[in-house]
Amino acid sequence: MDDQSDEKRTASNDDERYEVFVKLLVEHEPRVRSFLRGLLPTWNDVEEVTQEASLVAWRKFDDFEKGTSFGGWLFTIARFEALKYRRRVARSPLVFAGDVWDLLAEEASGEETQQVRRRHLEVCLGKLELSQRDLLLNVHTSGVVMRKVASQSGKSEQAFYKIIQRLRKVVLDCVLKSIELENA
Amino acid sequence: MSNSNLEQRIAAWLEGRISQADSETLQQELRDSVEARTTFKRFAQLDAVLREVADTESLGMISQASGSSAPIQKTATIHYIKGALAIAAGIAVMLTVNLYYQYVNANRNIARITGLNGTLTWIGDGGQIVQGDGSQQASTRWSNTLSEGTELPGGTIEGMAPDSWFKLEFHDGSTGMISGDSILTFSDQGQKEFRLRQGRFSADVMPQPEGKPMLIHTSVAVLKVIGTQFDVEAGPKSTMLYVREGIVQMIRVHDGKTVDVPANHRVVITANSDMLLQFVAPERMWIQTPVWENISTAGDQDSIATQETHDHDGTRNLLISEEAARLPAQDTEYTIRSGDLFEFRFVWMAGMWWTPQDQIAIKLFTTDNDLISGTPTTFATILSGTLTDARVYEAASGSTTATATEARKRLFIAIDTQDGGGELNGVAHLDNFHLQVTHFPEPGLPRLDDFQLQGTPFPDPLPPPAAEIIIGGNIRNGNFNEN
Repeated sequence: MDDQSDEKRTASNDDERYEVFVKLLVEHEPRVRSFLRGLLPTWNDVEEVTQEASLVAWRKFDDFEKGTSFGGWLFTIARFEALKYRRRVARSPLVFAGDVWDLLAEEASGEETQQVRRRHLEVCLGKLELSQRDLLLNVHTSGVVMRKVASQSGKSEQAFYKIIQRLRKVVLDCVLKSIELENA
Repeated sequence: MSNSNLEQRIAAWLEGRISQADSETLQQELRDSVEARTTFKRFAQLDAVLREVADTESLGMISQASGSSAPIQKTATIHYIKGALAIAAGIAVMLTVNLYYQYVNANRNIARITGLNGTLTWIGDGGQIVQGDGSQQASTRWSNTLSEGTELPGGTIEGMAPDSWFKLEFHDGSTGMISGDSILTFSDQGQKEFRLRQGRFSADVMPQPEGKPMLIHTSVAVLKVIGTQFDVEAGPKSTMLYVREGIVQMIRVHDGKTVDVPANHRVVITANSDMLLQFVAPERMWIQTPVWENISTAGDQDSIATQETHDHDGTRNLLISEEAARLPAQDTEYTIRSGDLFEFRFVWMAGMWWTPQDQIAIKLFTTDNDLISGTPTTFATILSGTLTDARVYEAASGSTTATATEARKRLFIAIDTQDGGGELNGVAHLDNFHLQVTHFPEPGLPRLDDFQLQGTPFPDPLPPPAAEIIIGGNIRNGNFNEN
């Protein structure tokens, strides 16, 4: 009987611990992914390092001190995991040299404000024509190969990339304006 | 340092297509300039948030499984919560399922979801039914949502709407995708086996173990796949197979007749078909497209003229663009007579950047020297009207009558666009173009008969005017499938 009660308590504690972890992870993961995107050359790399960092964080969750910043803790783990990953893929021409990597990682780690956030983006996407909005989201969807979309558009790849970049620029300018207004 | 050039290099890096030289230039810019680093970080952050929104909107579309007929949900706030929960669920699956059930599931999960869209229903082993992230359902061992990254055991996936699609990757790297209203059951007990009850299935198959080809069963055929890329579409009484790479063996169920289908070939099997191979290729340039040509002044003859994607009837369609570099046209070889009634019809569908106000413009013209390269004079421009639904093919038709001005000249026809809004870069798809002529002699004009009969009364009444097809089906490549 006592053994069964102990098992139930343990299961209940595990559930609570798991729920707390997932809640924190969901809250902080977007910023970690955004940070990794500025270091790692492809989304596959970002996904792999994010998953690895999440797993490490879960395994070490007992070490995390309640009341301290989970975001900062996760960020540190992600930075280390990214560095480990970089060593594996350093030969790729897309991977930044060590000094550039360090500069970007250092500056991104220190940033707590001025992040491009989803709420800004949604407002600015709403200002695009529906077809432009759909196109921009389409080419940013996981698994979508931009070159294939370009070929189906009947345009040259270069022309297609320019259109996408122009849309990104319009949206980014709008987002930065929103951030500026928010901070004014 | 030009901002525009810096931004182009950043975009190329983020898209993984930067050259070695540009990569080095970009890195030097990042070393030297705080401003460049800020710009880089902003674009990287934007890329991350765009992907987050794009992915969670894709997930959000699945929540319409509960019966809403509304098109794609455009406000993503609610979906973000669902998406975030789905991400959490995905991570939860990764952390808990993988950690706790890794051993148990090692022999059960056979594939991973790598992409999905639209309304889908998944029925797993044991009859678990999973419809989407918004449904009130009990969690399964795998997840109570279908989301990217989820591992699945064998089961049945059903696309419930024309825009539904679902991509799977098997543990050997083979990938498969269903699209539209399709039902696919799959399993892998050492040999991959599928049953396509209806709809379309595309696959890119890694080399399979010797003696264990991938098997795909449809109502009328069995396909044996060793390692290749192909699309298969199954109906109740027929199966169409199109092979992009490699070779697929197709066996008719009722008589065991077999055909090997090589790359770039299509075969349609019914109970009585002759199982003949047809050569096809996914995209064709203008020079591979008989009769039609690109007559725009900046026309690139190496650009895509027709394609198989976004099809109307499983065959090629003509790619239309608002851009000046594309203007499909043909010399009909028909000599116009005064009073000719030209009637045409076609089906069309909007593509990227096509705005609701844009239209197709059919132009009938003559030239100063009866050659398509001559100076054109357009005598009729007929608009298609606007589309009511951008995602499906709609029919359009029109007509015009020739006058004495055009008589005795050669008829040329062009399929142009009429901008109604937005930038001049919209794309549309057009298929099954049909043009016919009916000659109605104008009253008072002498007819050939008058001269032949030299004023004697007509022995018989004149036959009623009959329509003659100028373009349509395989006549003058009206279906865009000829090669």
